[in-house]
Amino acid sequence: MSHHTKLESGGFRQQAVEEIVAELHLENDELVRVLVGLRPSPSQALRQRVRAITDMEQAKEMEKAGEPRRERILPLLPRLVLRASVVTAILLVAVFLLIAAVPSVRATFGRIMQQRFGLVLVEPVLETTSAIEPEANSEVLTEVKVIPPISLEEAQAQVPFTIPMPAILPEGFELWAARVGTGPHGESMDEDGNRIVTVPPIAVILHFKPDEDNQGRYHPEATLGLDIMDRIGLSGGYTAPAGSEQEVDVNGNSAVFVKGAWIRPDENKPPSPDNLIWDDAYDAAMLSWEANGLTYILSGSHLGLSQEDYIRIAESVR
Amino acid sequence: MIFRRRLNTVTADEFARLYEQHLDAVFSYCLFQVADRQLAEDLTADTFEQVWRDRRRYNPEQAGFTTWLFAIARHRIIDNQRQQGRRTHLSLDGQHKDETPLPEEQVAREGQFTCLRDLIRALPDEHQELVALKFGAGLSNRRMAEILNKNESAIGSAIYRIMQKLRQQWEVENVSSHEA
Repeated sequence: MSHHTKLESGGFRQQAVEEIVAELHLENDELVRVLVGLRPSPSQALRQRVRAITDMEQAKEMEKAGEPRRERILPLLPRLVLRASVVTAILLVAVFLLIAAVPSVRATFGRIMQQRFGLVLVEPVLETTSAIEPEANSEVLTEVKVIPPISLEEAQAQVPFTIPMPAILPEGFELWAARVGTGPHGESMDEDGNRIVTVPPIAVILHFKPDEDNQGRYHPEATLGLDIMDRIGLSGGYTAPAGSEQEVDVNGNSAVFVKGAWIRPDENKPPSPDNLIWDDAYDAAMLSWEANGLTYILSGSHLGLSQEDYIRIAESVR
Repeated sequence: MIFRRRLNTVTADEFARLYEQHLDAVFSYCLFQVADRQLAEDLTADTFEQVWRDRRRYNPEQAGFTTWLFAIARHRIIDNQRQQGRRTHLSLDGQHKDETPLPEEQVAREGQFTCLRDLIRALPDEHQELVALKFGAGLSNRRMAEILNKNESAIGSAIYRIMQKLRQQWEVENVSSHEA
């Protein structure tokens, strides 16, 4: 039964004179008619004022959900670089393309050791060569285009597959926003000079946060994200050091779990190959797997969740 | 780590539809209670704002939406009355202030309204509230019982007695006014 059905979908209607007379077993309805006649009609201004409540509140929530915007994303990048779900699908797709196609960017993250389920596992030690300009790398990392958050219904209308949702979430968490994105078609040349056209996946990012009643019980930056891409066998994706991954199982499907996050040793400097290290003790994790033609990346930070917790959430995705 | 099933969410559109369904009743209830049209509008808007803010706390398993909505409106009114330090009473003053002139037959009814207004004003506070919920909001006895946390038959009996009392006084007043 839908929530709307529970919310008296039959519609509320004020009792009419006849109903009141019948209910009270009255013989004379004249007084009832006069009393019912006292009912005032709301002014048009009140109707508009009330109607505006949901509009305004929804706009506020959308604005909140839209944060962090560009100026706020940048300071967060060191901790969330290429991992956090708040970074948009465009970034995700851009990274797919850039990592695979641009040697300097590939070098930025070290040599790619393995790519699985939207994760790129790189050498633990980042390569920094003189050919790489830190400024250029910063530019790549901050090449973020924020896609406005939308409702799940709006997201659903934009994608050709039914958006799966986790049935289990950390207590007090709810869907905060959804985003749908895809990157531009990419073109590159392989080593033999052949032209390669890359069609980016459609990505849906679901962003979960504590509801108003539970915000106080979690870290201010506690967040859970579920990225869903409409294909499997993806190359590129979020980076993590090779060796940080653990092979796990999600509903019988092979999955990769990674705990930790890229952090910026010098908080005052922008992210760059010189200023990014992997912190495997950081309270953040990713779990990625493929199922039913979709690739999933579940990511969380500041949640205090165990690997089993992440798997439990992942297995509840339907 | 404790988990729970994902909360269903009620969309803004669904709330908007519910607002449309209940706006007249909530406003009418407020105006019956506070006597001031502007204040009644403010209380109505405050009620719907709180409903939206607290929508995640609403548990449809515990109460119908109408019950929950009017419980919020009722608390808004009570809070306002506490702030005012006194209870205001039903008034039709200004009810048509911002409206176009009333049709002739309605002008004639104004006399009845004014008479009835005074009679309702003289009722105890709890009886005025019953009148506001019954005739202002147009709620069933059952819904009123849920909101007021009372027995449904007790609500019916109380309103029946109020109606008898009002009718007697109203007939006396009508006779007097006609004789005059």
